[in-house]
Amino acid sequence: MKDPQPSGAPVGRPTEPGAVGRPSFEQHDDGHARLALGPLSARLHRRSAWVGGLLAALVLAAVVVALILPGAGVETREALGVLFGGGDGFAATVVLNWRLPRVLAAVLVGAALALSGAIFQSLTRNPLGSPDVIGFNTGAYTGAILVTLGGVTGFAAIASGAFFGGLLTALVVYLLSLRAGSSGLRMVVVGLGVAAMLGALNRWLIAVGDLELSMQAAAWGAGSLNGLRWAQVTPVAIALLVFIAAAFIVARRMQPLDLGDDAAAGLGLRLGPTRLLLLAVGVALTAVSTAIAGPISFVALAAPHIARRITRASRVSPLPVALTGALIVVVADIVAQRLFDPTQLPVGIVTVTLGGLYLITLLAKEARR
Amino acid sequence: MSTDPTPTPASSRPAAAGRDTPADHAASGTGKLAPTLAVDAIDVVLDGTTILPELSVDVAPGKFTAIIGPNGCGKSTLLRSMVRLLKPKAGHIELAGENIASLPAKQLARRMALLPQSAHAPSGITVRDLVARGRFPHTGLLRQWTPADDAAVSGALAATGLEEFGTRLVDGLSGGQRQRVWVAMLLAQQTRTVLLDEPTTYLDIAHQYGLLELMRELSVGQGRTVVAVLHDLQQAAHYADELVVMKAGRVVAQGAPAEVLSAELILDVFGLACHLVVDEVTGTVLVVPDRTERPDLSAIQPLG
Repeated sequence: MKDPQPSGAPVGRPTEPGAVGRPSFEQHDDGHARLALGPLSARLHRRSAWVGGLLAALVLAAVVVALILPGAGVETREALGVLFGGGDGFAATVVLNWRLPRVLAAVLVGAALALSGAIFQSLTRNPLGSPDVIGFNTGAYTGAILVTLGGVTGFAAIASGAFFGGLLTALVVYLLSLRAGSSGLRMVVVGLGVAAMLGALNRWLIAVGDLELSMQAAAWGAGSLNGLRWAQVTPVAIALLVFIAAAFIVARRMQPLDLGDDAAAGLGLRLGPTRLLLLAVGVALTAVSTAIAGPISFVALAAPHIARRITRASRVSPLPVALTGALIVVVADIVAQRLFDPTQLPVGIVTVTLGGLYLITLLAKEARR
Repeated sequence: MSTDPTPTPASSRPAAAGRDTPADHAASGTGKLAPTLAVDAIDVVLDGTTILPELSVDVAPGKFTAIIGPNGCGKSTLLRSMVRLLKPKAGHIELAGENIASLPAKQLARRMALLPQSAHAPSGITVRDLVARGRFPHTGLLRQWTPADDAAVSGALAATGLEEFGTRLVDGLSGGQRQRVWVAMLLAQQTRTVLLDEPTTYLDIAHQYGLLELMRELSVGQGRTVVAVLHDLQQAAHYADELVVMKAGRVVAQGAPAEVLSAELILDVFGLACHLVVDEVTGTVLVVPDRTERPDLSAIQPLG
């Protein structure tokens, strides 16, 4: 009998015994590699790893472009000078105090929304189960409108309103869809219903509210990164970094969860606590992002899909997902600022347009099959 | 630390150390083996309906136990309670003398695995990737993948005849091949106790017997405790060391197939009048249904 090389067996030389503490890297012929360093070890999907590297480079490039494009009286040459530690006072202010916080916010918000989408799609086991579809964005908007129309102005107040609005909506959707053996589809359907009702409420609030305040609330509702400064970005950035790190940690639990409740329980996953944990991290990511930038749609829905397509991995690794989201928002924000210069579009408009195009392409492709 | 017997031939046995305790096979002083799984008067209620009323059953270690009973009698509910997917309202389940409710989830999953009736393979997943997910209870945040995990996955693929399929997509496999992948995932979990919920459903007859042989080898050859829900009474009687017969959430009979299986029992439990024939060549029991009542189709229009 022939002795076939079992697929996935190490191709390279296996780690020598006694090499504990030395980093090791084994390539397997199933598209994975094993990384080990002391007590740490991981199984990497190779394509995901290099796609992740490529995406990181693209995000970095987009960030640099966003910082050095000419405008606001600053030439590219001057902006580059600032990046390399020079430049005069005004150019430094534009690049470091105006553009940098905005770009950083775009990167973090994009990553957060994308991870949140991946978490909710796994939680609901439904590709449409992203937080912007199941009502959390709408609820955050309701919170922001109520605060604005209440006459309270200022970034912190609106951000808090949005945060608690999103949180409360998530809680309502979760409780309404909670039953023994709660299915993901129920959560999506309940979320769609809640989103529709809140959408109606939002329009009514804007229609009956004071004109000027309503206009302000409506502008926020498009989702924009305009005018963000360090004072607003720093606290949000810290919060987002914490929750993004949390998402990377809980992402591991999505692997057994994706196999169904019975299989997940058999693999030692505690379903109740896992669901709550995923929900908490997902809601926090969306709520904080929405608090700073307003509802930016489509990123949470599409970034996990796009990441999965380009990595061709069976599971959604958090790194490519986060980087895809970051890239979308950074590029969309550049387009939003520059397309109709000097008129600045809200970045949310650009992501929605991109999303529409993406969905149409996807549907056309599916239809042709 | 005990070395876990693995579901692979001894020659290619992975070097993975079993993390389950020897207590899973502890014998009591009287010579009779203490049960691996002791279900003690559990009440399981689903959506306000009591599915299992005060059910008690003991599963002997190292044996192949088949659970039989009509549809909806609570067989799956019993297995789902055993992996703590369902929490009994009263009573408790012990694994080798320890209450499973107080065991850490991953530790329980390193000692007992479940092949569910339906599981979902993520689209675009390869066979090896899916089988690798069986290693979840053995991995942690820092120690995500070790050579022992690779060995366990390769061993499970070999034991189920799937070596050549490692890089194939699960989506493109036939139903029978797919079921073998799930079985491989179960084996990759390397547990001393395995639970299988209707594993032979949707398999053609050759694959059914292949799987039954594998389950028997897991218990006879490797000393694992195998508990399987089976529908085919003849297969259950032929392969299992012990039958647990359930009806309406209760255990109505338990014991060696030859002692338990009778025409009266089948009439009582399944409502099927039959007689049993013992095959002279193999000693296998055959269930031959008596004439059943002719269905009354007068409510629908005849053709023509």
